[in-house]
Amino acid sequence: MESFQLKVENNVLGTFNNRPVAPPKIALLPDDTKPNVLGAETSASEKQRIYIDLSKQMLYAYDGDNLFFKTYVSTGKWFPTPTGDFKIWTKIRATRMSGGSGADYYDLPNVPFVMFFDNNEVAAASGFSLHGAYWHNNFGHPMSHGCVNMRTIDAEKIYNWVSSIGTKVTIFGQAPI
Amino acid sequence: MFKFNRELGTLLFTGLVVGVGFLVVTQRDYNNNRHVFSESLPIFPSLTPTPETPYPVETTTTDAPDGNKKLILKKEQTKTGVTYSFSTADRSGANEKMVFKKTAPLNQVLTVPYNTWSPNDTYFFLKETTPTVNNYYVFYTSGKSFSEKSQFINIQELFAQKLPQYAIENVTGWADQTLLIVNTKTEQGRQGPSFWFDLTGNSFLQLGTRFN
Repeated sequence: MESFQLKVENNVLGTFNNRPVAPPKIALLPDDTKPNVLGAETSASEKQRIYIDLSKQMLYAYDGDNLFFKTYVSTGKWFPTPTGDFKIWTKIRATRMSGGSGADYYDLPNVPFVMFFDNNEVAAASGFSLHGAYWHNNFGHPMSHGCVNMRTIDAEKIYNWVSSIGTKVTIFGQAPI
Repeated sequence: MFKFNRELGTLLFTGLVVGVGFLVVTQRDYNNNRHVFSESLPIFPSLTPTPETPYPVETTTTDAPDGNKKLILKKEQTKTGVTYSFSTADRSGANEKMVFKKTAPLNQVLTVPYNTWSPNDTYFFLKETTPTVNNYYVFYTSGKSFSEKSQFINIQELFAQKLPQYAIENVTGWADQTLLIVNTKTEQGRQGPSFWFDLTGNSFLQLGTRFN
């Protein structure tokens, strides 16, 4: 279950792999609290495009024909990451994510730099997103419950680059699970 | 006057003959000597010392996933192999601390894996490729030792002692702050199970699913 609202909870422990995890403290900047939902597409967002190759566990961010950035990611291991063409429908500086069950249960406050995406087949309420992951460092290998995990420094870079809502995200390939 | 002139002429003639003869002889000796001298001229080293070409130092840094720390590898080739120096520093480069230094022969290579940093920046791990086996070493970022006997933990060594029926295929990264993901193969070379190596107890936990 994902929260689609800004939520910062410093000094709260999280859970991952049934083990406690201490989230990083987040100090919000004024821009972090501005609403960033359902904005109109702009010419900038039309040029920006994010590709995620599940088989290589790589993310590529293009500005027109120019590669802006690429990095390793971790996609779904315990639940598959959907494939297809999506659009980012909201950006949130941080929120809480929880789900799974048994050994796969997770409850993670302060998930940083979250960019939720959806399309006609995968509803926004499904909660799929690109975001930073502070609880593991196994990028380049499937390690998520369906979201696209990145190192926090990489997620921050993409988050700040995505100029507005509506940026296209294309996910393709077969994850090595 | 005439007698005087004859004597003077004889004297001048004699002097001329002796002088010419001397010139002929000395010139021949000079030529001979020059010829001999030029062939046997010893080669003296240049007075300007030629400096030894220093081996280049190759420096690479690997940022922690949160960007707060960096691992700095300085690699310098020597006459006998390669010297690897690993140090850690803050984001700005301040507080650099030497953690580990080793000179290895050329067929032994130390590398920094992409997922080297533990999620909370407390540890990092290195891979050492050798002709026979790959070692994986875990270090404290602070440089402190794991025990009185060793500064680091050699995962390969522990694994070979505890689970000889498998061999480590690779160590991909961190499942959490103290768990490293270890993929294995069987003695027959087939795909083996994945394990978590728990730093807190130096134990291996076999997993139900493979972490590819």
